[in-house]
This record gives sequence, structure tokens and C-alpha cells, in this order.
Amino acid sequence: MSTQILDETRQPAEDVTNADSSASRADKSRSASRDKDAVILEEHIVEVISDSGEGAQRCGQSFGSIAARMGNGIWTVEIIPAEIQPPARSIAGASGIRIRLASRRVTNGGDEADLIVAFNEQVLLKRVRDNELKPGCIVLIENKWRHDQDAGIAASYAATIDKLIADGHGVHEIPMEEECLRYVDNAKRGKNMFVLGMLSAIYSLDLEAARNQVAFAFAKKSSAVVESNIKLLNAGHEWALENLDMCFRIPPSDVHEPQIVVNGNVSLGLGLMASGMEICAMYPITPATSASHYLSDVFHNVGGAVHQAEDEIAACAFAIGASYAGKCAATITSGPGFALKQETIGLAVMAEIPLVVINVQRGGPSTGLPTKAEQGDLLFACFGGHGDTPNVVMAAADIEDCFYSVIAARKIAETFNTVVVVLTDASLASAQQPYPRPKIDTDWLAPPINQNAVPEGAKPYDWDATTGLANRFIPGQPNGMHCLTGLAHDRMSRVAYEPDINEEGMRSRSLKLAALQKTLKTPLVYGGDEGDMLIVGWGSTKGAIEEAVDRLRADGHKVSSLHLKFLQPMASGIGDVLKRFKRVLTVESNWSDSLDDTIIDEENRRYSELAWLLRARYLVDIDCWSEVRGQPLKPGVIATAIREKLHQKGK
Amino acid sequence: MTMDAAAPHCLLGMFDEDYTLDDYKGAEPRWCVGCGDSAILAAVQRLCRDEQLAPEKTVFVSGIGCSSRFPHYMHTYGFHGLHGRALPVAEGIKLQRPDLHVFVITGDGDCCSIGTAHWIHAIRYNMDMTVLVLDNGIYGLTKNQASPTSPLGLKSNTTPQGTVLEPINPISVTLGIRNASFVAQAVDWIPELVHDIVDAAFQHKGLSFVRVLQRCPEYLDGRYDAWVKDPGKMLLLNHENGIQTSPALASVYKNHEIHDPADRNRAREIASTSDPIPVGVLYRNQSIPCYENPRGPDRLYTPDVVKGVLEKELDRFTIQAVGGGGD
Amino acid sequence: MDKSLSALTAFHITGERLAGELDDVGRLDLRPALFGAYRDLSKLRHDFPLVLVNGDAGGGFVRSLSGVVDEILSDIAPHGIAGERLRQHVLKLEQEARSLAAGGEARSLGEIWDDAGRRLTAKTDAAALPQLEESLAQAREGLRFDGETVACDGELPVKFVTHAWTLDKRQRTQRLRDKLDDLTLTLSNILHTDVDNVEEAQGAEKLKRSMGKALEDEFDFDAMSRLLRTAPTGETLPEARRRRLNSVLTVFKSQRFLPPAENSRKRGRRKEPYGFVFDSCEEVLEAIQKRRPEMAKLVKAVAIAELEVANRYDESKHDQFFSHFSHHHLHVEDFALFPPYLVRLHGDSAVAAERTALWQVLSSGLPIKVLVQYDDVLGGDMLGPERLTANIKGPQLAAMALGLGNVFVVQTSSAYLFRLRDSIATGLASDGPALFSLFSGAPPGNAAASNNSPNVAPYLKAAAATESRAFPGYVHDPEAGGDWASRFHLETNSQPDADWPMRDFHYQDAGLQRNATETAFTFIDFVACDRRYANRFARVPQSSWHDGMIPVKEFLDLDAESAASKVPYIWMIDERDALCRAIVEDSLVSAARQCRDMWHSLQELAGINNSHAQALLAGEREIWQKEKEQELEALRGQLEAAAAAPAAPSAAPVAETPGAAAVETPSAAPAEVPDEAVEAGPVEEPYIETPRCTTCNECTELNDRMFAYNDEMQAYILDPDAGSYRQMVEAAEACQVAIIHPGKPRNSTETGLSDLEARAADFN
Repeated sequence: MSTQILDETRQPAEDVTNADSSASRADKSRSASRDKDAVILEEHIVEVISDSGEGAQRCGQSFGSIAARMGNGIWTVEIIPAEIQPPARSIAGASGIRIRLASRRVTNGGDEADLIVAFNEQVLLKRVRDNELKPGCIVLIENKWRHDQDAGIAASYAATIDKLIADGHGVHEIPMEEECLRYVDNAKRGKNMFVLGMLSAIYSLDLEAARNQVAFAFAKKSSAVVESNIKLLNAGHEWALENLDMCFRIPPSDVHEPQIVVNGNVSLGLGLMASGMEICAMYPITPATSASHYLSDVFHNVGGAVHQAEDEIAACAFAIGASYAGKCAATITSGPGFALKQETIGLAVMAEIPLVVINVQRGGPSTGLPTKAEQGDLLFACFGGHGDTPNVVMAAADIEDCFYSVIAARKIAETFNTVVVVLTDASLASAQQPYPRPKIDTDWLAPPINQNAVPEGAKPYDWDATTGLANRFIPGQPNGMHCLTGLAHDRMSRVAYEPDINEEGMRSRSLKLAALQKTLKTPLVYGGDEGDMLIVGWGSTKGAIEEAVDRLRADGHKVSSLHLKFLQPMASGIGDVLKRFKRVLTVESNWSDSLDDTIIDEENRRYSELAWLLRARYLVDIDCWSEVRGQPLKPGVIATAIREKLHQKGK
Repeated sequence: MTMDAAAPHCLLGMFDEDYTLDDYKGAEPRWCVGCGDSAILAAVQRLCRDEQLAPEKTVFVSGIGCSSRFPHYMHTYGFHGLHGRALPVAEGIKLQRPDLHVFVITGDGDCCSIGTAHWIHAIRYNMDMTVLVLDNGIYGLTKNQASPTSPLGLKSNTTPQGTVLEPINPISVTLGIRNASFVAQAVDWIPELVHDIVDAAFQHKGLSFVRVLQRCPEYLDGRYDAWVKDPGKMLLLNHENGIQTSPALASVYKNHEIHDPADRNRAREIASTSDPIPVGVLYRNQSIPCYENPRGPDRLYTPDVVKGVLEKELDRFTIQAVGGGGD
Repeated sequence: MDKSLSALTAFHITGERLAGELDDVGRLDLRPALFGAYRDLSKLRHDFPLVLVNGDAGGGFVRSLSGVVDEILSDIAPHGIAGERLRQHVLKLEQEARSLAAGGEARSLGEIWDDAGRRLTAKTDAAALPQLEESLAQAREGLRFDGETVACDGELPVKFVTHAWTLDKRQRTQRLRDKLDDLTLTLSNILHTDVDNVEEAQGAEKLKRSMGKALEDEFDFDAMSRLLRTAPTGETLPEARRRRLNSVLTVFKSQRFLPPAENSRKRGRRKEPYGFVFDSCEEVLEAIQKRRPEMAKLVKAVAIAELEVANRYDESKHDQFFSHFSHHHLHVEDFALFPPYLVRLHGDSAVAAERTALWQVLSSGLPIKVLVQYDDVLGGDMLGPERLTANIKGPQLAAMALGLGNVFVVQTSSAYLFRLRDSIATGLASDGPALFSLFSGAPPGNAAASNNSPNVAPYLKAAAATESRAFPGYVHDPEAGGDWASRFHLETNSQPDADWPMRDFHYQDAGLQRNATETAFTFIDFVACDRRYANRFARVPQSSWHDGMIPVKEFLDLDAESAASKVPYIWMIDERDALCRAIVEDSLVSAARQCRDMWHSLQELAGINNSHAQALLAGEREIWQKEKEQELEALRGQLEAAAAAPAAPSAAPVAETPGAAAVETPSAAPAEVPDEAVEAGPVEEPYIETPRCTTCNECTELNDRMFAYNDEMQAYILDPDAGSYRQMVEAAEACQVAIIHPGKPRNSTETGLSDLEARAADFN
């Protein structure tokens, strides 16, 4: 092995053998000595897979954080079993995490794994079956199963290893448990830190940074726990240096400003606080709930409260009540809950109460795939209400967006007195990606509740003829007394069934969307301004699509992409962009019929959601490619699909 | 040092004008002639006047149904929302604004059918608000369907052969919830007691649940005739911790019981009787904590404070890239 | 009179010691016999030392060591042998701690506790050590607060009251701070809300900032700004209101009544905050006088702010009022907003020097709390008998303050201070002036008097002063009730009903026989602990005892004639606890008599043996008895009548109701029916039982000139002639609650009257 980067100033390696036993000194010298042999990589995708409860996710998150601290771009994706306590050593129970690390900013989870650590062969098989291993993938596997008392287990293990080797993977059998038992009594807890130590050694990470990260991860536990975990970390590191003949180094990216590392749901929670909202009502639903967990921990510090309501409807009604009486409030949910909230959302639109509804989408319909990603609620979010319910729909494209979307949503909701739906999905919810630490601006915060007297004779719905906007009266304002109602009403908020008044209200509510649309800029096209094909996407797929576009353009294809953050209303100018490309294709993670199916043709084909929307609005013949495999789209898969589409055209 | 000049507060108080009943009258009521809702509206308006509630600080929240039109007829803030959802809306208002007086007006269908989950949980939350269930035992607005409190055997548009289900008893159910802190029953035909009971409910810190039995002249005419005509069929509950009947009323309604509202077991027994109809405060417990209290400890959340908290939170997640890679 | 008695009498009357055996007690180091049990106070579980609790640990601002120990034991000591051992260990610790605390140095409970623990373990042998250490560790765990320990000494009153005052001040300061912070935030919010309404808020730059970074590229902020400016905006604040709010905020920021908040950054630039503790009444009055303009400013600012927050500021009414408001308009009640003042005076001379100012303070009605500490109740220079009573200084000042009526007064000696802690706290928290007249029991500062009772501990001296009624304890709370008996309390004294407290007294006589008797602790017993008066006592050897010698208490109860042949004595003991009798000079007896008279008047104030109250009580009892008898008589009559008459109809009209309706609705005069008419039978005039009206609109729909709603939205008959009798009857029939009574037809020409009248009969 060789390396391009040689550090001439380093001490010679012989120090190591001397009596100097200072751990850090030894570590440093040793890693220095190894460093010279390290293979320099652009990026790598690492997975750690275990039974649930063995701590693979903590291991991977720590690994990602250490790498991020070292200056790497990272993206982590949790691999979540469907069940809470799946049986051990089962394919369905595979639980773990993928960490993509690179010497540039990473925007998605990437394609297949370069290196995989498995705690048993069954969970590994799950990844093999899902085609998640790159050819020649390095496999590090716990070897204790080879000698398991259960002959079946031992056989299954041996067979798997044989097959992996036969398939060309680089298998390393590792006595994880045996090694761990030298330090702790129960290897089930702690093996993950041993693995973290190994990974730190393999990827030439700073052991001191790793120790700090472990101390941070176990900050809530006793110092004894921290100590024993650090011991295991050191052991793993030591063992890998002694026994593994591989060492990589992924040079840092040139990002030097402070970053924060959080997942999408924590990012939403931070955004909620930064928006100045003070009340978030929710009902437990996967995968939205963890945002409320985070908020519940800290919200009171800014005077906020998470209300766990008795049901989804109550949560939304509660938020509406809170918004009505003061600052805009939020409710967080996922598909089924979002469906239940529709009647209340209609009320908020009708009565013009600001409200932020966050829908962390999951696989549907019905209970569907509770823990898996899908972008299936777009049309529902735009058109889910009975009657005409013009509400704003936004979608967060990455983890950073989760933070800022909530701030913008609050601002729009209160400026336009309407409902803003923010769509994210399961793949953002638990994914981690560093983004520049926000510079908090108090202008993000909701303004104080207006309690000044309303001028005599002012009307609660004094709709502006051009924009449909009206001032909102808040309880406590003298002279503002009126009875808000979900019934058709006039400017005084009196129930009115007269045809003219009904139309006036409808028009005014609709005009507000038009007004907002007038403030939106045409989104920038990624790639070239014109060409053979424009990929249009929305939400969490942005990073994968743009990476696919990069690869295709590198191959000389004239492909670009356009990513929409506002889905309702849509910015002006999009139609023009569409026309500059020969073909337009949406790439989404929701269902669309395939023309490959025999009874599907252009007349009965059901398009993916964004394609429906764009076709209806821009009268452009838009094709779609979509996948509903419950996992984030891979750039490689997208690139292949686009290639095929381009090829089809060629035919 | 003599200080006999008046304090500014005394003088300032003199500037305040009293609210009159007219200050609380909103739109002209459109209930049927003879409807019991009118008596309740008048009693509640009297209460607002007696308590001098600032109209802008008072919110009436309702669902859907005849009774839920109530907020339109008050000149306060009103929220005429969705069928069954008055309580969660009111809870949101109260959590956001503990300074507001929150009243919920709901009906038997609104509260005990479509809104049942919210009713049960509202009792659990015990937020400081006054909930009046205007229980006429029938769906009136949708024109004559059996409600969960309709008497057994009632013929209606949806039960032409008569209902076959036992009605729900809202106060028994409420008393069954551990967190219930105030449970009372009134009847629209004794408006003085509606006023007194709603007053006691208003004074109570916590959720006060008041069921008002109410006549519907349109679809359930004569339902309570026997009780309206014979004061002896009413049972007035008196206690120094509940309400005390005026002598004038006591001379008409002679059937009294001294009932200590602290006695939940007796309250449950009383609640389960329908003849005579008990009227008064059945249960009251001031020591049950209110849900809104946990919010907002004694700090002022100025933008700077919020910013400080956020910076601290961001610190938790911040990494400063070491950049060198491996050093 | 026999010879031996005459010698005694001579001493009693003249102070001459005719017989050699009448020893001057001063040389013999005698002390009152009842002190016998209190030789070593550190062995005795009593209130002292006290702990001035830091912060708000619950359980009060001051705790007694034994109380603390008891509480810990009840928390941690289980029943049974293990608990008993723990209890013994901890009680030993308490004893060590008590003697350590008597050292006089100011130390915290925690330090003393730990020291005591070390001492105890040092004394304990190795075998018992582990158990002891375990007990001590458990007890230490149970000690959940700390604070300075104070013994019963000359510093106690100042430390105690200052500590309590500090806590009260902290609360009030916090209250004021919270109020100002709250108002500041709300006013700033009003100004902020306004900013959102003005044009800058809708400028592109501001809009861009408010959206956050990641979405900046999505918006055309110029377009947004243009659009929002065309849309309706809220009202902007009138300039006058903005100025008013800003000037209020300026006053809040510059006020000096609160120390700067801990997080305040610009500490250096502010003026020093005001102090609230003074050592002279003149100074406190002067300070208040100087601060009044500032106070007025703040009071005014708070009033304006509160009006603004409630949206109740009406320029047409309030502008003028506030423009004239100055410190001349400050009212006593306004002081409640501010921290209370504390003045600490020590001894007679300080009181005398400040007589005028002190009086002004006490009668000001302002929350100025005055602590007067006395170390000497009896006064030093004894020239003649009349001087003695005149020198009982403490009771005098407090009694005069009582006369003012609205002063909160607590008088007690140090020994009972702990028991009166709640009253002290109440007095400090009250909105008016308070006087704390406290006798320390400690040796006074001046050399002449300092040696007056060398062998009596301050605690005992203080207890004796109160016990003997020389310095009686009492509390006067002007807010506590309408009469003296509820405002004024003597409970802190033992046996407040009696002239002197009676104590069981056990002793062994020369024949080693145990004797038990009762003896009073009188004013004279108290004087007997004071060396300066030793020459007024003479020890009578047992050989010279005479039947004419009677205890002081009995002597005081005698009339002059019977007393002539008697000589009063008290029991005293010497260093070895040998008992003796000491006869007393007459000058002391008259002083005791005066002391008793003063005590009697205090008793009357407290409602004890109160001649006026007793008379009143007797009268009330008589009236009550008469009433009961009348009621009984009436009941008997009713029972008889009920037996005779048939049952009354259940829905009879109510006698009171028509009258009540008429009163509430003057316009309903035509409907008014004389009470007699109702009682007489069927009604002539139509009326409505208005309070029972359910506002159901039946009658008003029928004829809204005949029926109308009153101010309570309940129906009455507006004009019975505005419609037909038929309508009246139909209304009665339609009325849901049957409260309309149609009466007789008013127009005999109407058709179908007979039928209508028959229908009306059901409702009349």
C-alpha cells in the first residue's frame, strides 16, 4: 500500500517499542506509523448491522460524528427493523446504520456499501439480499458463530461465509466477543464500542476524538459506564492495528465553519423553537414522534410546551385553538394522522387561522410501512380538504431544510393567516448530515401577541381585494370581539349563506395563495439551463438526484434537475424551465404505473404525484420514474433509470 | 408625614365603568321559541355581568349543534368550530392564554357522541375552564335523531321503532374519571340555579363540568313536563361548599338535600338518580392540579432569552471540524 | 408581735438588718429556687441554639436545633432497637452541637454538626465506632439545609429580626422585580407589535432576515415587500402612546429601589440602589422623605403600565390625573410595592434620643419595622423604691405603641423569640409599622450593670423576665380582627389567666423527707436574680423562721390590714442547691404590685378576666335563650296547625316572588301585587314570577308590548292593557314554566270571558 501524503516531520516509528507507555503518545505514534500505509479514498460507505439492541446505531452515529469532526462530509441512514423486538439472528431483525463519509459534502446515503460490519450472518444476509453490498465489499463479521453449540447456527454461518467469499467479498472473521470478554462480563453490550475502535483504526480517525465522542454519547450515564466503553474502544482500535491489514484515509473537505450534526427530526424541533412557536401538539406516530421527543426535552426552556393530545384530531384542534389565541402553533404527524387532521385543517383554512402542520411522510396507504420512507402524501397535502381548501405546501429537501422550512412556514402562516403543510419523510427523519451552524436571528421569532385595541368599526375579515389578506383579531384585543366560525361568513364573521358572500370568501382565501406565489422566485436549475432531459424532484430526494445528474453529465449526457421546495403554490417561471428541455421526467418515491405492465398504456397510466401536478398545471407531457421500496432513492439507481429513459428515446 | 391623599389605584378604579347585560349580548338568538337554550344564555350573560368579565378577555368555544350557536349570541370572543372538537380547541386557547376566561358550550351529541374522546380527556387534563353541556337528549339541528342521552324507547327519525340503547349519563361518566374536579347539574327551567351553578363552576379552578338538562320544544316536547310542573320532583343539593338555594326558591322547591361536594361516593349515587332530578354541585375537589400550570415557569421569554437557549442547544450539536485529519 | 417577727418586719419595712442573722443575699450568691433545675443549659433540650435557615428550605426561616434533630429522627430512625440506637447517637450529637454552639462564634449549622460528629467519634471506643459512624452519616444525609447558628445572647434579637426581615425583603424585592419585568416585557411587546405594523417591517431586508438562510433563494423579497405593503396592515401606535410607553420603560430602568438584576451587564453605570436598614428613626424618615419623588415616579409608571397592559388607559381621563400626580399623592398603600424599612435601636438611651422621630415612625402607617432591643429591664441606679417601676422601660414603649392602635407590636424576651417567629414574620410582612420590643437577657454593655447577674445565663434571665411578668410577651396584630381580644394575644406567657405562673416545687427537707409544693414565680423572684437589688433581700436562717412569714404571692393577695402582721419571703437556693427563705423589702413589694396591675390591664386587653366582655357575654346568653324559647313555641304551634289543616297544594304561588320582581323592575309597577292579595287567594292583577323566567320567548313572541324582558333578560308584564285577556291567558298556557298568572280580566267587554277565566283559573 502506498500514500501520496507523506509527513516528513513525524517521529520515526521505533518510539513505539520503547518503554513510554503513555497511551495517547503510543496511539499517535502508532497511527502515525500506520498512516503512511493508508490508502487515500474519496469516499466510503460503511454499514454496521446487528440484532436490534446491540447498539449498531450508536456505534455508527459516533463513527459519523468523529469523521465529521475530522472534517469529512457525512450522511448517516438508520436501518430500522419493522418490529420493536424482532427475534435475534433473524433476517427481519437487521438493525443498523449506514455511514457515507467523503472528502466533500455528502447529500445522500449513496449506493452500495464498501465495508460492512455484521454481528451475525443472518443480519448480514438481509443486506446481501437487498443488494446493498458493492462487489468486493469488505465484510467484518463476528466469528463466534462458527463454533456455536447449535450445529444449525454453525452451519449457517459457515455456509454464508463461504458464499460471500465465493461472491468475491473480502471477508474478515473477527473474534469480537472473545476480545470484548477480556474487558467486560457481558459482551452483548459493548461490542459496538469495540467495533467503533476498529473502524477508527481502519479509517485512521483520531483516537482522542473518538474517546471524546464516546464520553459525549454516554454523558447521561455513570463514569464507570464511560470508562468501560472507552476501554473497549481502545481494545478495538488496538486489535485492528495488530490484526487487520487494511488502513484507509479519507482527507477532510475544505469546510471549516462550525457544523451541527442532527437528524431531520431534531432539526425540525430546533426549527420550531427558532421560529418562535411555543406550542406543538401531537399524537404519537412513527416516524414523526422523535421530533416531539426532542422538543419535550427542551421546549420549556423557551416557554414552550409539547401537548400530547388524546388523538390526531385533538392535536390539530388544540394547535388551532392555541394559534387562534396567540402565536402560531404547530402539529407534527405522519400520513394516517395527517388524514385524520383534514377536517380541522379545513377549519383553519376557512377561519384563516395560521397553523403549521408537519407531515413526516411514511409508506402508505393505511398503516403501510410505518418506519419506511415514501413521498406519498403530496397530492393529499395539496388537495386533501373537502371543498376548496387552499393551503400552502412546502417540502424540505435535506436536514438543513428541516430547520429553515419550519421558520419560513411559521412566517408564511402568520403573514397569510393560513395553513402551511411542511412535508419531510422517514428518510430525513433519522438521517444525519452536518450543516452550517445556524446564526440565530431574533427576527425569526414570532412577534409578540398583539393585544392592542382594534380600531372602532374594524372588521375581522376585511379582505383586501387584491391579495385576499386581512388582519387577524386575537382574543384580548378590545373592540375585536367576534365569533369565528367554520361556516361561510361575511367580513364581520357573521354566518352568511348568501351566494355573493360565499364567493367573496372563497375568492379571498384563494387569492392569498396567488399572492404568496407572486413572492416566489423560480428555483435554480441544477446542471445546464437546457438540454435533453430535465429531472424534477421534491423533498428528500434532492441529494440523490443531483448526484445522479452529476454522474450523467460527467458521462456527457445533457441532463439537469430542478428541485421544488414550494409545491403549492408553485413559483412562477417553472413552465418556462420545463419548455427548455426536450424531455421532462419526475423522480419520486411514490407509486406510478409502469408502461412495462401489459395493461398499462398512456390512457390508463397513473403517474407519480409530482408528475400529475406538473402535467395538470403546465400542460407538458411529463414522464415519471418512481420507486416505492421503502428506502431512500440511490443515486446509482436513479442514474441507471435516467440512462434507460434516455436510451428508450434513442430507440 | 401625613399621607391622606388618595392612592392612584382608588382613583383609577373610579374611572372604570361597569359592564351591563347589554355589553354581553351578541347577535339576536335564533333558537326556537320555547327553547331551553335561551334561559341558559340569559343566565350566562348575567354571570358575565355579575363577574364583570372583560368581554375581550372572554372566549366562548363551541362545536356544532343547536347549543353551539351560543357564542354567536355573546358579545365576547367566540369560536364556533367543528362538531365534537370544542374541547381540544378550548384547551389550546387556555394553554396559550391562561389569562383568558374560557367557556365551552357543547351539546349531548357534540360532547357525548362525536366528541367523547375529547370529553374524557378534557376531564383528565383539568384545565381551568367552564364546560356547559346543554343536554336536550336529541339532535335538533340535524332534525330529530336519537342522541346518546335520548331516553330509552324514544322514537326519532333514526329510531322509528324507538331507541333500544340505554342512554349515557354524562355526570356519572364524568364522576368516574379520577381527575374530575367539578361536576354539577342544572336544569334550564330553574334559571336562578343555572346562574348560581355556572357561577360556582366559573369560580372553580380547574375544569368544571356542568350538565344542563334542557327542553327541546321542537323534537322532544314534554320530556321534562312532569318535573317542570311538580317542583317536588326536583332534588336541590345544598352545601356551603356548593350552592345555597335562595329562600324564595327554597319555598317553591322544597325537596332538598345537604350534600357535601367533597363526598364523591354520595355524588355518584346522586348522579345515578333521574327522578327526582338532582340539581346542584355534585362534586368538587380543588386540589387536583391543572394542566396549564406546568407551562411557563417564572421566567420571561424575551427574544434574547430564547436566543440564548437556542445557542445553548446548538452548542450541544455543534462540531468544529479539526480539519487536519488524523492529527 | 413577737420579737423574732419584729426583726423581720423591720427589715421588710425599712431595710434595716437588726438581727445579725439576716444576711444580705448578694454575698451569698443565692438565686431563685425555681432556677434549681437549670444549672447546665447545654444538657437541657431547649429551643437554643437556633438556626437561621439559608434560602427557602421549607419549614420556616428559623429552626431550633432540637426541632431539626427531631425531624431528622422522625425521617430516618426506624421503630425498634435499630432506631433506638440511632436516636441515642443523634441525641448525643445534638448535645455536643449545643455546647459547641454556645461558644459564641458565628458558625453554620453544618460546621458545628460536623465538628460535633468529630468530637463524638473521638470520645467513642473502637468497638462502638462503626455503628456510631453509620448513624452520624445517616443523620448528616438527613440534614437538608444550612444556616448560621445563634445562641441566646446579646446579638440574638438583631440577628433574628434582621434575618427574618431579609427574607421578607427578598420576597418583596422579587415581587417588585417580577412585576417590573413582566410589565417591561408586555410594554416592549406593545412597542414591538407596532414595529411589525410599520413599513420597515415589510422592507425586503427585514423579510429576508425573518425567513432564514436555506430558503432565501426561494423568495423574491422585493416582490414580497411590495405585496405586503399594499395589503392591509395593523394600526400603528399613536405617537402619544408610544412616548408614554417609552417614558414608563425609562422609569423602570432607572429606578433605584431594586438592586440591579444579576444578569445585568451595565452594572457600573447605574446609581447605587437604595438601602433599607437604618440605625435611627430620624435617618429613616429623612431617607423616605428624599425618596418620595422617586417613589411617586415609579408608582405612577406602574399604574400607567398596568392600565396600558389592560388596554384601559383613556387619555381623556387619565392624562390629567397623571400629569398632576406627584409625591404629594403617594398613599400609605403605595408603600406596599416597595421593600420594607428596618430600624434597629438598642436600649433606653437610643429610644430616649429619638423619642419624637420614633413616635413619628410608629404613627406614620408606613411599613417601617422598628426593633428595640433591651438588655436591662429594671434600670441601673436604684435610689428609691419609686424608681424601680418607672424603670421598667421596655413594657412602657410597647404599651404606648399599643395605644396607637395600628402598630403591629411584638414584645417578648429572647427566650420566647423562637416561639413567636411566626408573629415576627407576620409583623414584617404587614403593610404598616411594626415594633419589636425584645429583651435579650444578656449583660448590658455598660460596666455598672454588666455585673448584675453573673451567675444567671442570658436564656434564664430572659425567660425569668417574661415568666415574672416583668417583661410580659405579647403580640398585637391590628389586622387580626375587630376587637382587642382577637388582635391582642398573651399566649406566649405561662398561665396567662393567672397573676403569676404557679410551679410545682419539689425539695428535700432536713429530715430527707421529700416535699412537694406549689410556688409562684413573681416579679420579686425576677428581681432576686439581679445583684443590684441583693440588699433588698435578707436570708432568714431556718432557726428564725416564723409563722408570720408567708410567700410573696400570698402576701400580695392580702389586704393592707392583714398584711401588716406578715412578712413576705421567696424561696432561694445557694450554689449547692441548699434551700433558704429570703424576706423581701417593701419597696420591692410595691413594685411587684404595680407590675401585677400592669399585667391585669394586659389581661383585659386580651380578653382575660375582662369585666366588659363578661357583662356582654351574659347579655348575649340571655337573648339567645329567649330566642330559642320563642322558636320552640312557634314549632309547637305549627305542629298543632299541621295536624288540623289539610295538605297544602304542592305548586302554590310564592309569597315573596311578586314583590321581588317588582323591586327589581320598577317599570313593572302595574304588575305589582300587594303581598296580602297573594296570600288571600286567587289574584286580581296579572303578574309573572320573573326570577323563574327561562327567557324562552313564548310570551314576548305572543305580544311584545304586553310582555317584555327586564335588565336580567327575564320577562315581566310591561303593560297588561297592551293586549287582550285572551293573549294573557294564552301566554300563561304557553309559558314553559307556568309562571304567568293572568289575574282577572281588565276589560269586561272582551268576548268569551267566562271561558277564558275558567282557563286562567289554573294559573291564578
